[in-house]
Amino acid sequence: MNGFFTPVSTGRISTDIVDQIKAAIREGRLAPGDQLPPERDLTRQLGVSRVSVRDALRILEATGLVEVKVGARGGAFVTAPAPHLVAEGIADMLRLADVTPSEVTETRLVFELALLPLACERADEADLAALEEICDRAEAAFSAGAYDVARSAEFHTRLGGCTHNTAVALFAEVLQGPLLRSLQQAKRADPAAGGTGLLEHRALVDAIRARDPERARAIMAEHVGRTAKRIAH
Amino acid sequence: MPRSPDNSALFAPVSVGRASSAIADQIRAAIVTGRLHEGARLAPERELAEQFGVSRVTVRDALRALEAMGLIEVKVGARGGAFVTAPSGSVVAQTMSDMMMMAVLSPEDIVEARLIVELGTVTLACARASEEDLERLAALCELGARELEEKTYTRERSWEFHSLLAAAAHNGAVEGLTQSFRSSLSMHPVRAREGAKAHVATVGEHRRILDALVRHDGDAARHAMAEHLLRGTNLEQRAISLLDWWRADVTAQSSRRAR
Repeated sequence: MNGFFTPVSTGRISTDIVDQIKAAIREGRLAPGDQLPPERDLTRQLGVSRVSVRDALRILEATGLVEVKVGARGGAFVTAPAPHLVAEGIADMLRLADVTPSEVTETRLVFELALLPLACERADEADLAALEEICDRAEAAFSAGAYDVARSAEFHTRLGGCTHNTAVALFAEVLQGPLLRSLQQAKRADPAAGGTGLLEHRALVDAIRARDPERARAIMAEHVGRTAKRIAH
Repeated sequence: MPRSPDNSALFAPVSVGRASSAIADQIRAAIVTGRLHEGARLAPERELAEQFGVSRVTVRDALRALEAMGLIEVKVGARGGAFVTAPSGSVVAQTMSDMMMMAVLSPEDIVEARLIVELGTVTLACARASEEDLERLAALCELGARELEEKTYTRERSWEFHSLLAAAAHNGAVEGLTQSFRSSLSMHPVRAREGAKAHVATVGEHRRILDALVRHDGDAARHAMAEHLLRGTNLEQRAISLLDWWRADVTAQSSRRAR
């Protein structure tokens, strides 16, 4: 009867363990880098079954609060959830919700235009160099007749990083997948447009370097607006 | 790699964790690419263990992880099993909130990101909210006012307003991004200190946003939203530049074109 009765109670117990560990983190009794006691010790301390402890550790691992390391110095370590975990979660939601390319493009018009003032204010030399480098690779591929819209998606995602705001950057990461699919559709509608887009990317980097949000916005509005038209028609 | 239960007892925490991650990844990929649909029931643990060539314990670990990600729901009983669910956003919202707890995200990061997303949301909602959307928002505001008097108003109710507003934007991607903010505002230290007084302010601010929506007044809606999100923070300057930004309204016009 093991499979029949255990899931309910262990589920509740493991959630309880997760809550206890989270509380310890919140109260500063556990900090990132700290190693949790071995499963066996936790089992004894908490007075629960080993299965419940395992379940709790899997939940903590899946939600990014614990990292399990292998090897001689292995074990379960407290860690801060990585932004990409949230990005993946939202991206899964968008995929499952069948978000359309025009919805994605509209979201970009809202989101990417609004983040430009932050990007213009906070972009540093490393950000600008990274954007330039993406432009270089894209242009080289374009000249060789092997341009891939994935480079464009990469550019837009990196732009989000220029805000130095983790939440904004992770949203830009979320949009990368849907953005890529919308760009592929736009490319089918007008295969020749890639060259113009690359020039606009270059001009955007210049505007950000000049810390000129108005100019950046005008370029971006034109740039994303063109994708919108190609998708709509 | 064959693995016996004895081995897993010896090496348990590490190797089993990795194998279960690989299994969880495979199942997750099947779900997000639509090969497994919402409501579909996964094969029983025993069969999955055979398919993947691992122990049942490992399969169980993978299912636990998928459950924590909100991708499956494990039901018990005669008609029980692991069923594919549509992630509601509460899991990512919880992770965002955990990130604030661990100081990966600052409260200012969240407010800034919300300003960027939600000023866009109200702008879109102003252009497209249906009569039904507005009625739902109005009913929620009335319920909120009543609960305020009865002292039963909660943060969850406050969140519902933002959730309905995102739905009124009629854009799935905007809605998805908004969902991730569900838990994080309550983590804001300013909000935590405000206590019950915050609810009074919140209900009034929601009402003003709704009034502007009803008049299809984008500028007023954005101002009311900015004021709401900024209460108690030191980001006024950021909001002013964003509001100026929106006033030019290039985005709103382009957005309508994109539809």
